Amino acid sequence: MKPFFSQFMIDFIVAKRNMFFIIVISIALLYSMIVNFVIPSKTESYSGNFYILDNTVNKKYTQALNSFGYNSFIASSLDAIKENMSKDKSAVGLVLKDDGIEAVFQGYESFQQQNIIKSIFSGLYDTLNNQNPVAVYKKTILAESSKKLPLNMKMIPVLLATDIIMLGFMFVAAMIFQEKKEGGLYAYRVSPSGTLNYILSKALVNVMISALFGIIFLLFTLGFKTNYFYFLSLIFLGAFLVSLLGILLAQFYSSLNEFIIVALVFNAAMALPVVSYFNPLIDIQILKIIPSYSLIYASDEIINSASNGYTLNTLLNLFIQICLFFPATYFSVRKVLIKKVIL
Amino acid sequence: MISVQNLSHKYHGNSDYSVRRISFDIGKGEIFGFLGPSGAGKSTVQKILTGLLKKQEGSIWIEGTEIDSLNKDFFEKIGVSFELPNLYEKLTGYENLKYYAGLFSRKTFDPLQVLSWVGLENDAHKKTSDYSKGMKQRLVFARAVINDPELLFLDEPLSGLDPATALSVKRVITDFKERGKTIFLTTHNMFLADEICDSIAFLNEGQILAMDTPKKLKLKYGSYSVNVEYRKDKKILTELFFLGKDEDKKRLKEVIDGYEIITMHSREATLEEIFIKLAGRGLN
Repeated sequence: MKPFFSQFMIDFIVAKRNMFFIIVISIALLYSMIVNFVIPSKTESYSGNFYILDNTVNKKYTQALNSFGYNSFIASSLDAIKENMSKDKSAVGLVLKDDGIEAVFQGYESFQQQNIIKSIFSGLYDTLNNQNPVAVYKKTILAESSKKLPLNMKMIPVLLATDIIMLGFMFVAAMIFQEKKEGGLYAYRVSPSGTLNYILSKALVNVMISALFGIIFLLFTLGFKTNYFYFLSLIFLGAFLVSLLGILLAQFYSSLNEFIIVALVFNAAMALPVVSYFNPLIDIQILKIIPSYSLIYASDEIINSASNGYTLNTLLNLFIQICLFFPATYFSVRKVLIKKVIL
Repeated sequence: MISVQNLSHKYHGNSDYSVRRISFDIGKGEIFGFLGPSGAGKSTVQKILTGLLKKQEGSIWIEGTEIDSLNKDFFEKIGVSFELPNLYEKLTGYENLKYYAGLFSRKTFDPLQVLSWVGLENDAHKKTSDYSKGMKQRLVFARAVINDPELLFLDEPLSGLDPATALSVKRVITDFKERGKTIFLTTHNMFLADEICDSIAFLNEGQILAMDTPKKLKLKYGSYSVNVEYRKDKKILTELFFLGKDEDKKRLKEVIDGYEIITMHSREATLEEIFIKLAGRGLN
């Protein structure tokens, strides 16, 4: 235990003096601010201004819009609408006639936003013209979780998983390269402390850094209204797995410069599940074997508090992956990094 | 303590052997000096003996155990000082020793005590990245002795040290010897070897040229010489004459008869002179 503790302290102090802890605390606070204050809770609504040319006989739209509380401004002509819209880039123009509506868009509104505006005014048109819209609209949701996360909350699993995986991968690699550059590894090699302590100490320092990030980020975004036991279990196993992968790959390179291509490819691969997360229709099976995929979806499930089936399954999968990668990392490090030291 | 027989080693990609069929024995409590110029193969032998390089040919027995069968108990009992400083630069000198000592299960020295042996007690809490090269070298030496090793491997321990610090380090080495520790010293510093080694092996181009105690080497290969300082055409010249050589005797007579002698000293041959005689080249 003493040799492990000593090696752990070396790695911990090196990580601390390399500012790794300060970096993750700063990122956690920055992400918290982004989630709380920058990312809106939803993008499926329209909150911009309307510039309206009401060509109806009784100006009935003008009265109705004001009573519904929309930000509408009356324009005197189509040219006036266009002129106002050129100054207000989030605005939409509408020419309202007795026989229909003509919408003027900036050109970069999403189809979703265009449809929302269309539905608002279709409903208004039907109401004002005494036409009956569809009486009953019933919807059935097949997804297990009944509660859909607001957009800013939906970013939490993504930011959590990508930080643990990407930063964890880079940090553990940086620790190895620094040790190689300074030569501390040669002194370690002629000490009785073996490969196991070497791997475990680095992995646990990395887990601590990830846990610190996770706790700060979750506290400032979700507060105490979430299951920290599940989250910390996910962070522990996820960061441990990524540390093993980082050590396994970094040992074959002598510097961060040489390793950067590997790191870029690795991080790009780890970011792919984000696409599927925001657009579930993109359901590519291979994405599911990328560790970040299960971390993102399990985090989503924990925040939703709907069930814990996927989370438990993810924890079990991560544990199995660690069991598979640990011997590979151990024997590889023993052979490449520890035994084959070239001075 | 250590027995090496017909050890050979070739680096990957090199056609020539770095070390060729060398054999030697080191007794317990002995300081064994491995002497030779850069590239002679000294560090290669030390790396093989400490397990940093895998043995390719020959046999090595340490305390009756073949080197391939050595386990972590072996590393508990050895201390290794490297020629180039290899420290955790973000850690202080004290932290480097404290946590390195923690890697051993056996009793270790107090880091501050060891730092005082090498004159670093006042810089104990400075980051080693702020140390000078000489300070780093002393810290590497301190780290090698922190676990009170039975077998100490030292690679150029006095390299880059000022005379006062070199004296302190030399004193630590001789103290270890007096306490019955075995020391494998790799160096090209013949004065150090002459002063502290019980036996010496001259190594050149991967081969041992001669091996014995310094005294016996001098008796066997050395001869008394005369160092003469004389004036020739208003210039002062110095020349060394080996009295065992007829041509040198003849030349000495010519100098005495032909020029103004300023100083003339007889002296015993140095290990360096013996090495030059055997290898046909100097140590530096």
